[in-house]
Amino acid sequence: MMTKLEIKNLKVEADNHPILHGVNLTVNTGEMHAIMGPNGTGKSTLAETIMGNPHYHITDGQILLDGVDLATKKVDERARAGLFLAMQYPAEIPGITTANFLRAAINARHPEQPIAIPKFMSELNNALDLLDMSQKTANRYLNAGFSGGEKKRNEILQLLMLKPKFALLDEIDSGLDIDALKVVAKGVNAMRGPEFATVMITHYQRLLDYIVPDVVHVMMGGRIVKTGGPDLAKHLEKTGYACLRDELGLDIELVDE
Amino acid sequence: MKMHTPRYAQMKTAKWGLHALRTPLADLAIQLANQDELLQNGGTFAVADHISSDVETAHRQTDPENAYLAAHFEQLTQTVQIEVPDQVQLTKPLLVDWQPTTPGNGNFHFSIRLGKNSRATVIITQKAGAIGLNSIGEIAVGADAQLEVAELNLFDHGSRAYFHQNANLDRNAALNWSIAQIGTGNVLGEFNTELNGTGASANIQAVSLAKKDEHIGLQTTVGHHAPHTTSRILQHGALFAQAETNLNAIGKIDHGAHGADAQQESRLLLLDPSAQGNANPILLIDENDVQAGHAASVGQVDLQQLYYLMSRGLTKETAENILVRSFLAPVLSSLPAGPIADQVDHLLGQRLGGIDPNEA
Ligand SMILES: Nc1ncnc2c1ncn2[C@@H]1O[C@H](COP(=O)(O)OP(=O)(O)OP(=O)(O)O)[C@@H](O)[C@H]1O
Ligand SMILES: [Mg+2]
Repeated sequence: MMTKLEIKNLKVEADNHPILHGVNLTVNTGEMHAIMGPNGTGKSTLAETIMGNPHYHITDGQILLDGVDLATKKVDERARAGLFLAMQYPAEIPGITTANFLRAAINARHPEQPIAIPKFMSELNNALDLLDMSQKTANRYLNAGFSGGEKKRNEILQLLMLKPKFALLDEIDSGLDIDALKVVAKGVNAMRGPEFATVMITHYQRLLDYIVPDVVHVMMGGRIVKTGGPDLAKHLEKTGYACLRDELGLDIELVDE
Repeated sequence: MKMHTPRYAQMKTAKWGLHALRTPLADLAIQLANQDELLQNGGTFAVADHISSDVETAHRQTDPENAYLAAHFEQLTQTVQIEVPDQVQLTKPLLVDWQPTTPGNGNFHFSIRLGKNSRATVIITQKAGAIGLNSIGEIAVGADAQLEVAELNLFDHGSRAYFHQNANLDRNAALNWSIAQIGTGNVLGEFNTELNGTGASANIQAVSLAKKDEHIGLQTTVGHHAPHTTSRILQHGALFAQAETNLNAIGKIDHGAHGADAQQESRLLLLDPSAQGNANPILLIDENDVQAGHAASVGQVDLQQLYYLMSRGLTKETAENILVRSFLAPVLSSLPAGPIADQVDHLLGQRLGGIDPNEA
């Protein structure tokens, strides 16, 4: 069954600093979206706000999951409803292994019926294999002392294990070497299907060669200013954001100017 | 001499109900395990009905006006004696497990004496009944000997416990002492270590968990009385709503104890604004050529970590429990591996509730 995530005229601020100025975006399961845009334009803010990070405050607009407003739902409820955010900067949690953490997270989805250990182990091993990760990684403390690239892989491991409907991937490609990038792409592509959608935030067209999107959005100045197909990303790679801005006649200052 | 109630840890203990520890005594069930190796090597591992007056005098001198200590010795009925002769290296931990079997206060005593160049591990599991317990003990570690002591306190709700335990170390002796206070109830404890011989060293770690209406006061003291002695005190406590915990760490370095190194770290994690915690580092140094360091903190859960865990669908309660474990991990990891570590882990899971990520 198709599920719909709708963002309507979303305005968001953090510490009284307005960041998003009316974002509109609709994502259905079965679709792959990419969001690109200059630094400091509000991409992470959008992803974090959808996920329910209490640091960000919605001043206007709505986030609807199959028509249900998520505004009053806490982050954990949103996760259990099928949202997932691979974070730009995942936290380190020494004291719990990735494996135990994952089992707790799976069981949080149906506490009355905990997953059987053999089933969990076989799913975990399959996911580890797919991502070329060793069993040792899953028995290390969650992200503790992990390199940047290892953390990103661990986010995708969680994605595979938790099987969300909507995965927001915030710069999942940053800091990855080319082999790791292929592995991560393999993980995301394995999730593809009618029950799954992703919104990938990235700075690099290269990621989109491996995870081909259906739709590409460009964000600037706290809004989505252009939407197109995979060609839009290729075009941007050649021309840059300043050029697009001028094309659209937008009055936005870019960080690098 | 005016006797007084214990007044460690800057705590006002009037409300703790510690006076109950002077009520009629409970019968004790004391179980010893893994004796054979020690007995074959000419040692002692037994329950006795008295202790020598020298031991009593020495112990009471460390706090002569302490009314609870006095009551303990007056009412003493049973004591566990462990004597390891010189040059004996035990491979299996000596296990002491005791609990009151009748209503009333449990009055427990132990003496551990480790001979020169010997090696042993002692694991003490103590339970309290409805009233509470006194756990008083002496530890002596001979020259070049190595002793590991772990105490696991499993108390029932409403219990009170009072600890007063002293350790003395000779030249190059090493003590690794762990105290896990994760049962329910009120606990007041003083753990004193005297490094009397050159090169003696002590690692002392305490871990505690306090929930609603529970009070914990732990004071860990190390005295450096000889050159090149080293110590590390590591205390971590987690507090939930309406709980109270006070951690004192005291390092004393005498004049002449050159080359001594005293390190201490006391940290408290408050899970609710209504919890009250204090971590007091105290260093008293009377010698120039030494190293000493202390860290103390009273903090809340890291919101970024909490958010990360919850973003995977864990409830706030489960996420906080994970962060409690994470916070206690540096201390838990220094417990002797094996059954006691598992038992502590299991007990933590029980006390924390919610989904226990470490339970199968
Ligand atoms: N708490 C805050 N107070 C003030 N400004 C903030 C706060 N949080 C974010 N911002 C600002 O909001 C803007 C958008 O930040 P955001 O992290 O969403 O950008 P981004 O598009 O993800 O950038 P990047 O590509 O560099 O990751 C930035 O200018 C940032 O400095
Ligand atoms: Mg960002």
